[in-house]
Amino acid sequence: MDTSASSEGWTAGARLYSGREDPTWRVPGEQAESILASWDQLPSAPSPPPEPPPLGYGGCWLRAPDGREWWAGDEVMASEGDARTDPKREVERALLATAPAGMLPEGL
Amino acid sequence: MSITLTVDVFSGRPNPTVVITGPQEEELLERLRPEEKVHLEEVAHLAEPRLGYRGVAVQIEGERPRGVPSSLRVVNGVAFAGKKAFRIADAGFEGFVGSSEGPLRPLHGREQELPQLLWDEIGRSLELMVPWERIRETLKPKVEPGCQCAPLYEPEWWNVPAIQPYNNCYNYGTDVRTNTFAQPGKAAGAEYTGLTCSAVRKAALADDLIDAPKANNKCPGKGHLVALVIWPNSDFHWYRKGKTGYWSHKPGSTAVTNRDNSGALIADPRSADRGPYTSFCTFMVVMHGHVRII
Repeated sequence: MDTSASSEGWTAGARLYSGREDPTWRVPGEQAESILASWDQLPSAPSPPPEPPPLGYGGCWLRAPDGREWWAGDEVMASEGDARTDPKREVERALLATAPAGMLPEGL
Repeated sequence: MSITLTVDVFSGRPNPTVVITGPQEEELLERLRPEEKVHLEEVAHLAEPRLGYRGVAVQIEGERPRGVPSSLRVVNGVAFAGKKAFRIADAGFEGFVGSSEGPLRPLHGREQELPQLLWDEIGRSLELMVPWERIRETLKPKVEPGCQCAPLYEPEWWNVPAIQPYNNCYNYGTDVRTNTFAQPGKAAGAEYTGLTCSAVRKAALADDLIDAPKANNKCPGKGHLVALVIWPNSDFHWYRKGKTGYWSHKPGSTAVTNRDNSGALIADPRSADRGPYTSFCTFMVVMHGHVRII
């Protein structure tokens, strides 16, 4: 997970590339809190996200200023052993939508 | 003459067995006729012991057509006899044997559930077996002398916190750790200007990789083979061919692996499941100690 944008504020990123650095971006606090409120509503998942395939999109993450992290991928969003089911990938998509326009490929 | 068929499927109870004589024999022999030789090592996994369906054992007494052994076992359309294996003429032989119209008919009267049970079990087992094309694709390639110069597959060396996050596919492909997430052409002041095959290839040439478009998955006499693929307009990716003939790669900051996106070993990156890296660009050669990357 890239840490280049984590010195202050909320940051997010996507596991995406092989040759290039993965994209990371800042997330406004309000949006981050809203995403986490949605995450709180998700039902528990029986297991953490499975390991994604080696190449291509492999999930995204959100990091709080205090270092807490959430990882979303394959219809599961997890943080520190607490995994939630996100069957429609709504929270994951909301997190991806915080990326600046054009930063991520279409169709994630 | 007679043919004894035994469906090897049960563990505790006796396997269903039937002895065929008369006109049916000829039909069975025609279905069992050798069609194509196969290397035993390529299909050995089919004959491994397992619970559930393990094949149809065939014993032939009396005259046989040329090439048909007296004792064989058919699994997934492949006949095993001693140290030989061949594909039989009727790829659906086992399905025929297990079907309600098949040669086990005489047993169906006292075991009415048998045809369905065999049909289901044979079908289930054959589905679990890896298709022939997939086997062929992932067969261990013959190690050519040139591959002796290739780097070893040693993921444990790369997959550690001090190395893994800071080295990418280009580092791994060239076998040069820089901890800079190396970019093609950057060391030569000629970094790629687009995420296309031609742009990244040109940048790699500037780093002294050698163009080998006709390598055709063959190891070079010196150095080792790498392969460039592109996720059009999004990213590049490199694979490297190892000493064993298999390929491995390091997807970005993640761990080194020798598997493709379908979980298969990579015998040839051109046919591997590469996810969105849909453009196979070219093979190139890395001469150890000659390339310079940052």
